Amino acid sequence: MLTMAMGYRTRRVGQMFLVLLGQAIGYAGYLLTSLNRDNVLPPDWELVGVCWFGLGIATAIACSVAIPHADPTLLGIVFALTGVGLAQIHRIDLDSEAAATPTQLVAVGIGIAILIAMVFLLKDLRRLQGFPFLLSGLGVALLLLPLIPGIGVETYGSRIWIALGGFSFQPAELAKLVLAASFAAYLTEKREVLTSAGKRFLGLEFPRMRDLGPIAIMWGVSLAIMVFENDLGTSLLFFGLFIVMVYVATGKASWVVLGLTMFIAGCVVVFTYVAHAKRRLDFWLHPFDYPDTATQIIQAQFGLSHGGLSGSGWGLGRPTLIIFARSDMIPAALGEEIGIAGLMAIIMLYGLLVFRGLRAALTTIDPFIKLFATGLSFAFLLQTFAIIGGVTRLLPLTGLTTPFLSQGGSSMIANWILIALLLIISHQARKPSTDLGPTTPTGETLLEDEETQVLSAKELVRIGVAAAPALAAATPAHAIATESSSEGKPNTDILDESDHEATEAIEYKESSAPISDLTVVLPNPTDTSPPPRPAIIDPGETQAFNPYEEDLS
Amino acid sequence: MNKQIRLVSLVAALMVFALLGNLTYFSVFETASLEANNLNRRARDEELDVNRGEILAGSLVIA
Repeated sequence: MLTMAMGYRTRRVGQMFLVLLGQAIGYAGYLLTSLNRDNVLPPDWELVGVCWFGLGIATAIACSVAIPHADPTLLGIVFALTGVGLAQIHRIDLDSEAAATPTQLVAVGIGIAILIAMVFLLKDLRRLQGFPFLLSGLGVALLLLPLIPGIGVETYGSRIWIALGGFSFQPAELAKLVLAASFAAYLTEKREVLTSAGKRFLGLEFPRMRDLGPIAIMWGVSLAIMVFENDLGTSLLFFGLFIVMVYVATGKASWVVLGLTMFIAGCVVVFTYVAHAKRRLDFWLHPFDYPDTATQIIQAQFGLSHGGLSGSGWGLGRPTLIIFARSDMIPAALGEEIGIAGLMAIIMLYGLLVFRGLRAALTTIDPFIKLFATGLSFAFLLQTFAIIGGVTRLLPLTGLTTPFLSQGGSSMIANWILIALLLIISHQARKPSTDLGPTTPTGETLLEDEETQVLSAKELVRIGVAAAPALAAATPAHAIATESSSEGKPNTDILDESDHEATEAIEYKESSAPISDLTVVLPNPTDTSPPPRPAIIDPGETQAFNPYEEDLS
Repeated sequence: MNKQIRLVSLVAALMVFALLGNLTYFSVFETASLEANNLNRRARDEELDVNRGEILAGSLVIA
């Protein structure tokens, strides 16, 4: 009797519940603002409620249909953050002339529309792997776009915006996603080269000079951003992302040591010689020495301390005393009104989101997708860490947006795209390898399912083993080989000898085929797949899959 | 790559804890001195808002 192939259950109801719960937090903020200030409900609270919850329900249903196995927590967390951000921006609108909420709502709408389109249309992200250099070029171009005279706009000392036909856009937000994809594609291709031996120094194995090209280029680009665009945050974000992805791909700590050394060296030079950066450092270390210029950070501190642990309450603080309370400084504005405890809850939401993203990376088998998911999650965390750390004076303040909270269309849309990518990746990782029930002993139904072919035939052929005996009798070995090689690159990651840990995917794949039915057939002479190579997956697995157990050659 | 991803997760957790720890430190050790700071308009204005009672001239309320 075959067991049902294990995957993760669909969690449609759970997802819907979490989305509504998350939305309720933001909606409560909206209602409480009005209740606290004027003792009445906001004028059109019913309409706002219907539209807001309708949006959430529609998104959750769309995702349940298109990607039913996706991680159910992601959408709920994102709706909680977006709702809290909208409520806070609306609340600041009440104390100032400008109304930023309508624009922000449009950005949220566009972001969600793109997410829904993506989950229906983009089922297989592996295709992105084919264009590493196109993606890198696009990413670097997006980063450097604000430097082009005529398009680039300098606002408040930083040159990070472009203005085209009345619309302004912050290309770095989108570049974050493009570069994560390009790094993943490049590194998946060059893993072997970058892992190859180099010189040993101080107990660490350092890469060869000629392999240093990419890291040197990234260093140069991020320094250029730091110096010419005056954007320390973005520079930190991209260099950090690159270093972490190189480390994950190669497993060599020396890249991290090298990268951090280069980054610190760059920072020392920039902080010593570039006035703008030096001022940021001073404002961070001694803000009260500059009472007239460091007002942003000083007011943020006062707001947080005056709000205290439980906050002044929605609508009762004075966030308008902080410059850019809607965008850069929104964590401080929120901290003042919902308290340090509330801000901590928001940080935990970010943490949960990132851990679910990394969880999806762990569960995925495809090395490119694995790297991509890790990069996306880490970039998201690094950005959140840099800005919340900056606002709370853990780090020098950098002009990054707080994902999903800050006012700003580019950031909102780019982050919804990021969530769409993570949802698709988690769906691919969590769906069962086969939806079939018990199969016939001949294993025929097993082959009919596309997913089963990808997971079993591909790697079995790679190690010179073909599937069940009945199956082998019915199907010539080379038929399976050609079929699986046409699927694209064989999945080398499962067989990676450096990975002794079994992923969940391998665990449920194992249960999808009866181990006792496995046997070894001669590799077909016309088979162009690489020669057999020992597969060390985990001790238990090795026994069951050992290709040399019954060597018929 | 799973080993490395697990390590990255650990680093991620440390970053989250650094943010939380910093806020905890802030709320325990720094709020008092910030509230006493002369530049703190929030605290100062709140003091001015306190109702100090009526000003009397003899038994006549003049303000």
